[in-house]
Amino acid sequence: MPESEQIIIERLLAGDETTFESIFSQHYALMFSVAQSIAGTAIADEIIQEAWISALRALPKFEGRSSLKSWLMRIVANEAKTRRRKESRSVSLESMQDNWSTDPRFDGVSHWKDPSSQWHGDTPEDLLSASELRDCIGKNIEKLPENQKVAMNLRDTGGLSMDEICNILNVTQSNLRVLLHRGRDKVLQVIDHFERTGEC
Amino acid sequence: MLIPSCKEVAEQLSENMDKPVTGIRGLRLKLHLWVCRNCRRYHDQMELTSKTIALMGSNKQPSEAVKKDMMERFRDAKTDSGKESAAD
Ligand SMILES: [Zn+2]
Repeated sequence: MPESEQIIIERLLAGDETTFESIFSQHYALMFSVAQSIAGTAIADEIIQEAWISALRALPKFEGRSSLKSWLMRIVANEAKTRRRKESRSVSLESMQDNWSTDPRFDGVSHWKDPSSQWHGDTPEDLLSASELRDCIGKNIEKLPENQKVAMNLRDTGGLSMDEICNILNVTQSNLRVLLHRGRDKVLQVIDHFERTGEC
Repeated sequence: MLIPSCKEVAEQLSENMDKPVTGIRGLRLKLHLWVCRNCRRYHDQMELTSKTIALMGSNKQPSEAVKKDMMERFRDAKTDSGKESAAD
C-alpha cells in the first residue's frame, strides 16, 4: 500500500481526530452518492456513519489489497444494501424499462435518424451554469436504476478503476460497460433535450 | 458489415472512455468516426456528459451537525477499542 495511506491508517488507529475529520470530509461526497443511490437520501448520512464505524473496526485488518478509497466504497455500498433491505424499501434493481433496442433516435439499420443537437456550452461548468439544467440532470439521475447510478458515481465522480467497480458491485466488466453506457447516455439525452427546448 | 452502425459506435464510445477500444474494433471505430459527423458529435457530448456527472457529484460536503455527530462516534469508537484492549 502507498506510504501515504499507511500513515493515514496508523493515525486513524491511533485515534487522531484531525486525520479522521479530513479523511471523512474528503470521501464524504462519493460515499454520500453511493449511499443515496442505493438506499435513498433520507438515510444516506446514517449509512455513511455506520459504514465508517465498520471501517474503523476493520481497519487493523486492512491489508491494502485495494486502495483505501475503493475499500471504503465497498463498505458503504454493502451497508446501504443491508439498510435498504431492513427498511424494505421497494426498489427494483432494473426497474426502468430498457429501451435501447427500440431507441427512436436510430433508424432500421441503426444509423442516426434523430442525432443530438449542437449544444451551447462546451464545458461542464457552462452546462451547469443553468440551474434548471443542473436540477433536471439531478432529478433524472435519481430515476436511473440503482446500479447505473452507483457505477456512474464511482467511475465518473470517484475515478475508481473498472476492476475496482466490478468488485464493489459484483458485476462483470461487460455488465459494467453496459451500466455506464446506459447511464451516461440517459444523462446525455437529458442535456440534449434541455439544449433543444430549454425545458427539463 | 465492415463499419459498425452508429448505434454500435454509440455504445463503443462510452467503453472507449474507460478503456480504449483497440485492434480491429478500434480501427473500425476510428473509421466510422472519420466519416460520420453525427457520431463525432455524440463522442464529444459523451465526454462532456461524463465530466458533467463528475462535477455534479463532487462538491457535496457534510453538514456541521453530521460532522459533529460523526466526530463524537469516532471518539466513542476509540474509547470502546481502548476498553477492549484493556480487557484482553
Ligand atoms: Zn455514425
